[in-house]
Amino acid sequence: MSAIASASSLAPKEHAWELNLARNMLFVSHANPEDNVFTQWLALRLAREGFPVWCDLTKLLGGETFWRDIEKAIRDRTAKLLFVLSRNSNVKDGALNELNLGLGIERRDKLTDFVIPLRIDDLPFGDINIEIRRKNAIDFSQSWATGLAKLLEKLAQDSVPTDPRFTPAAVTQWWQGSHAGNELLVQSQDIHLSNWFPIEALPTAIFVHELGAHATWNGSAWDLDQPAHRIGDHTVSFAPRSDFGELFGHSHQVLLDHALNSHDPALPLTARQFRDSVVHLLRLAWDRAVGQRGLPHKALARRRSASYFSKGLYDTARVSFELPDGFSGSRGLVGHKTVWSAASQRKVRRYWHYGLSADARLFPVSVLILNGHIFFSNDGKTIWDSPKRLHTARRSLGSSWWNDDWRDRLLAAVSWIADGKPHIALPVASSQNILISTTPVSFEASISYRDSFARHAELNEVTFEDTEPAAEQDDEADNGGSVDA
Amino acid sequence: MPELRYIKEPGLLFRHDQAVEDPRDGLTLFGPLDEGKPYGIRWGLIGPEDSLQRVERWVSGINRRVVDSEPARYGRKQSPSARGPDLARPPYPGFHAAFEIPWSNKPVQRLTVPEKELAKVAFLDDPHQRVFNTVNAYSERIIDCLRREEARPDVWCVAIPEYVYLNCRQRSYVETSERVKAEARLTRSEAKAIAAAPLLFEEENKLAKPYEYELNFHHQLKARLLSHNAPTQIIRETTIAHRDFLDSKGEPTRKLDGMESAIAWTISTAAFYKSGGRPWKLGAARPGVCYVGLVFKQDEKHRDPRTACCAAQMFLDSGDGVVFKGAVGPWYRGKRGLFHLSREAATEVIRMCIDSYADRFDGEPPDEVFIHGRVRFEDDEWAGFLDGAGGKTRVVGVRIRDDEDLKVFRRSAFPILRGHWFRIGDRMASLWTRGFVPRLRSYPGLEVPNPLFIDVCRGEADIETVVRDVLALTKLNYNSCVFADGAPVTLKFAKAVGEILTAGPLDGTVPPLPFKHYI
Repeated sequence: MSAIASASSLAPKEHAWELNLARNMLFVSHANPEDNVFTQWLALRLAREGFPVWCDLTKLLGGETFWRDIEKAIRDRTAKLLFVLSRNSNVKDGALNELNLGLGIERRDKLTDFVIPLRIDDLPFGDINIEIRRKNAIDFSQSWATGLAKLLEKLAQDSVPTDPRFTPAAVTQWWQGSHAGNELLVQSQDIHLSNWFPIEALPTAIFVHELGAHATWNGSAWDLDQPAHRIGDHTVSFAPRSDFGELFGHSHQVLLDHALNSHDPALPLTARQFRDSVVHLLRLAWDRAVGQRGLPHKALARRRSASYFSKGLYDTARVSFELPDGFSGSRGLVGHKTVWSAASQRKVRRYWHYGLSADARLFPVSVLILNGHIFFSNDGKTIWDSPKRLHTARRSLGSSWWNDDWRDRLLAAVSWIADGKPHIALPVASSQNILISTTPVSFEASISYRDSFARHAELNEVTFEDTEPAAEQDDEADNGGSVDA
Repeated sequence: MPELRYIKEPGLLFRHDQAVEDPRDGLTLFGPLDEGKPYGIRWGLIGPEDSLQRVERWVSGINRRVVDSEPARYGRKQSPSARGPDLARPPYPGFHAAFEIPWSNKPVQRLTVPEKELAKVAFLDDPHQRVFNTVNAYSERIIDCLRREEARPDVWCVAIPEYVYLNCRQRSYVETSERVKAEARLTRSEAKAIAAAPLLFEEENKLAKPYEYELNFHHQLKARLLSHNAPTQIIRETTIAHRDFLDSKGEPTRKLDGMESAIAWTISTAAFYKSGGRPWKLGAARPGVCYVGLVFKQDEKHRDPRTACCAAQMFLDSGDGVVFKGAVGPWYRGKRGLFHLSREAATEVIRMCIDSYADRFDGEPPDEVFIHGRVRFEDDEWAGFLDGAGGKTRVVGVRIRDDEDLKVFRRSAFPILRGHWFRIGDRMASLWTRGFVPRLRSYPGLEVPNPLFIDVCRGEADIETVVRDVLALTKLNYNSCVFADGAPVTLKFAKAVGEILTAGPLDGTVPPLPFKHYI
């Protein structure tokens, strides 16, 4: 509360009768910021009950402007001064000045119970300010609800008038205007980057090969010179038969658009099988291309794999990137931390590795989807075997990686794999590459928010589920953070 | 450039017909939705004496404002001012102030489980007997009390010491030195054989009983009380009195400093709901609409591995749902998470929902039913839903799952705003139910939020309406008191409900029961 020097400038006594007519407000005096939570609750509850109430925390509530001159407000407009009595307000100058002013008015105008102390904590009786010790304080310390009930009874008893501008709806309106966070929202374009990287053009034709009479192949895609996907007796590829030597005896060439979109019974596979194959071929082509760039593979659950950056793969500490619109940055893709090893009873280096796994989709746009991962090793190269150990370390490090950490590592990794070029070429046949743009698909939002006052949540504030699928298997997470065991 | 559309945060309705976005704000400002229901928390309390006293002290304490202790940083340093104003943690004003009814620290029934008895069963070396007998120590006393006493609590607070929580779970391990030898035990196959064909000797049959139940105190207790109308709130004593339990360094074994008000909000809301109150409902309800979440759980104890239990959870505009147990059958299709009903079973389960809705609305069936599931529906199954819905009700099948394919990144340190969605044609969308929340000035999650992938896979509905509904349904979790969940309530508890329904031998004995019996 702004300090008030003294109660010396009280209005002349002869005006008391007129002033009483204008005195219809409840003024809540309190220690700011210590007792703000209670005071705001009280003011809003009183307003909800229809009482016109003033306090410095609820300015403009009910459309009533808070007076700049607090002294005048208390002197001319206040029906009751509610003094929030606590260990804080009992010694705080601002609150005590308001209290003294109120007591002065009470004495001068011979008002009964103009000042009502509301006791909210365990301030001992002996320590209570001498000015109000003899007054009957309403006790809120055991329960705010029972304290409020007594206060409402007292206000009714003393015929304090209500005001139609103060209603539950007015409380909602005030709340929405000042606390709901709506002021953070702004109507402005907000461009979001994504993990979708456009496929510039797919080949116009796809081949379905059938094994030659004497050919043997165990079906492993890695054994072949070009990406291929086996479905039963058929092998789908963007590479013609000649790219596979003598392996295949017969081939169909199908226009890709026809394969993906028609339901032509004459085709050896269904449109859905063709779509699955194309996605599979893109994943394979990606894995081969990043393998060529020197990124080792790490198997993931559900027969997926990721490629990761290992120590020595690049020279600098950080990898830079720059998008065509000038958005740029740089990040490390391998790092280490010295940690205490309980097993070996000494400090050891623990490396983290950024990795990428790929998927693809053809609708609503044709894109390669790249997802970020974090792996760990002791030597900067060989990833730990234990999924549980990896998961624990992953959660620990991941809890400090936010939007920009993941975004910039993704862009830096893609830029490095493309060797700074605008495209990554994925070979799919001896004479054919699929080009992937290194500029991700952008999504445009027309609503944004001001994040200058935002802060990152702490672990124990996290209520949305973790983004890692593995977390769903956690018993506690499944309970939605509920404390019901 | 693809467009991200935005849905304004749905409001929740409280007393005085007022709507705000955060349940904690609504309760603090206006109180819960229903006035005078219940009149107070009529609660029962059961547990060992020390735990009972802790719960009573805690209940006594939450009638006053609960102030969060400053989180001790356990090895990390951060000044209090660095945390800034804690808008993500709306203060807890006291139970009576928030819910407008008292919660007396004197329960209407107070049942003591002797510590010696509990410790003896909770450390048994046979895990099935351990969990079964530990649940017995509580459930038998509750059932006996309900039989004898006229004063029936609306909700039972089940106070458990930490060793009950630790020892009575699926993969619990009891130290060899602490184990209590079970007097007699059966092998899995012996127990299975007796369950399939009970013997003449009552003693053997009794001995086989514990093996019919799931190794989970929470699920087993709820399952065994389903037919006794006794909603429970399980309270770990380390949750409500974490500073009473210190490790060798003198620090609390559970790091719950700074969580006190969140714990008070959560337990209070759950207890209020389980006592018969509705804390809030959706601010913009759509009349004539209900939402059904499908629940499946493979019955691992059954010889046929395809055997699964199914259930439907029906919600209107509040989180006060009803759970209908459907038929047990060969619904599991071998692939992870793939369950499909037969036409008859689908008809039966949806008919129960429609009938229950009609009972509530003067015999009128709903105009629309949205069935939420994690997988697509098969033709036969879908035909069954349509049969069960009858001619007056339109049925829409919606598949909802986490979308791990799409990440979007703002050009700042903070992520996408919750409520954004990306329309993929007329029937599919990605919706960010997780993201930055302006009210909290924060993103209450980790890393980069994943959207939900929503697919109107059967029936006809406007995709925007479906997306709006799913976003709103993330705010109806009465088992907690947070701004919102990532998943809609129709799916949030599917796993837990399924596990309770398969936690023991319940075939054909479970009537439609309010959702509160399952959470």
